[in-house]
Amino acid sequence: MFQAYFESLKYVGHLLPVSFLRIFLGYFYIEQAIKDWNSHVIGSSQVSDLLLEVVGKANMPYWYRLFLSEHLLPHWNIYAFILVGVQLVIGFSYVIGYVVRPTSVLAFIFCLNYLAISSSSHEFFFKLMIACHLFMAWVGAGRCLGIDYYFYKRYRGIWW
Amino acid sequence: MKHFLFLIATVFSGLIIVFLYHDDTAVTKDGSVLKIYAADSFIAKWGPGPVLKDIYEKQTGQKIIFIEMSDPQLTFQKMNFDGISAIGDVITSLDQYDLIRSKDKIKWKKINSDIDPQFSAILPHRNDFENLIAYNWAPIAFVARNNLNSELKSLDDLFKPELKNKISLEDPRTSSPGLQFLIWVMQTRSESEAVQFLKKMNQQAHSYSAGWSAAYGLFTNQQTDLVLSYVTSPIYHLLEEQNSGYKSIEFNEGHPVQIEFAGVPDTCQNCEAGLKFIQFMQTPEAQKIIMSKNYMLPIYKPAQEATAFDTIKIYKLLSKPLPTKDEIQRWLNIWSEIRKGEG
Repeated sequence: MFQAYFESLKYVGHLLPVSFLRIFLGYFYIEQAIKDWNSHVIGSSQVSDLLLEVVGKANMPYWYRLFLSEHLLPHWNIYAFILVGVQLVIGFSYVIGYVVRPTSVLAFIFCLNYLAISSSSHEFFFKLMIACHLFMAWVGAGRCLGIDYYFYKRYRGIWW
Repeated sequence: MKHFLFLIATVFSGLIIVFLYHDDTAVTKDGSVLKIYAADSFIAKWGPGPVLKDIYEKQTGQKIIFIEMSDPQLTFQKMNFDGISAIGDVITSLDQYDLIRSKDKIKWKKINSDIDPQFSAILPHRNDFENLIAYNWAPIAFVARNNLNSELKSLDDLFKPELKNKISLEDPRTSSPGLQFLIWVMQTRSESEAVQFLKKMNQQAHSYSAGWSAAYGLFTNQQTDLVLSYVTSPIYHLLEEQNSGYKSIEFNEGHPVQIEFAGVPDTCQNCEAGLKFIQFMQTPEAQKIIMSKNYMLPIYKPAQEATAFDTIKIYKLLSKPLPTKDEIQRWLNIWSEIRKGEG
């Protein structure tokens, strides 16, 4: 597996810039997860600023507001834990290049949700992230400098 | 698929183990940690927070944790939501308008203070803010380079043709100087005149930045000739850059004032330490630090004696009653509508 990791440079070296972007995004997600872990999971019970902003938004579908205010906010600690977990899954997957394609789809859904709830000032950022995740899924970014190359060589298929 | 599920299971198992073995009760419940909500300018490396923290920790043996507060209104909402489990023993970086807008949202502990700041003149409605302690203040003013080729005496002079696209302003929805400017305009004119003024200003100003630092950056990068800031801003250039080429400009209307307050919310967990910290903020030593890092005037006047801050001319201040929460909201709505119309 270790050999295949570097061997990928020889056979799919043209994907190296994509790998750089993938590893950078992974680092970003891990950093974000650590920050959220400290402030939302172990640090205190403080609710995310973004969610409070969302609940106060006027143009929010009724069912979504109800879900946020009745289910998500009262059990914020559990949701914060899941949120951090998802961020870590994306982060680790991108950094080591393991199951990047399905993870990109997960990250895409994750960002799509944020895009729906965030204010217009964050909209561009989440659109850009969505584009990056789709790009990762499309090219199979884990195949260069990633563990996915090892599995791709053996099993092929859309997962790698 | 099984690989993907394996990754998810591994990460979540790891998280659960870390969570179960993490013990945070030791630092939060023994009363040795003081949690302080503050604006990023207060807790940044160059702000007064880190220096005050060092001194206070040495003096009392209590640890301080700063929590960045991006928007005071959101912080209050958060504390309301969390109720008795809310964190935060002290909240700083609140100006008078933050407090007006959050009047019913949060209750404060009573604070005894020996210092009676020279303050009633600055803010006549002091009683509206009982249980909160002011720690610095400064009048708002336009700041320019000394070589500005335009004589300005009032807000109306901002429309001089040579200043077209040369004025940096701040967005009143996101910046306290921006809100001060909006209130300044609204309180010195009738509402219809103020609306006309704001419409005209939309055409005249270079931009409305989201925060003070972005607006000031445009000014220091020479993209604009005038910026809405504080009368103390030229002192920053003098002390930090040895550059005396900046001035603040006096306007006939009188100048609004920004006063920053700190308080201990009723939901505090380490209340005694919170009260002690606020009293510490009023000591001469802390006042000097806050003045020299925040570039605002101290509430304890002797702290500024024999310093560059003592040379600052205090302009005539705007003597208008404080607007109500509803008035502020209505003015913000008017401003937003004008902006939308222009956009």
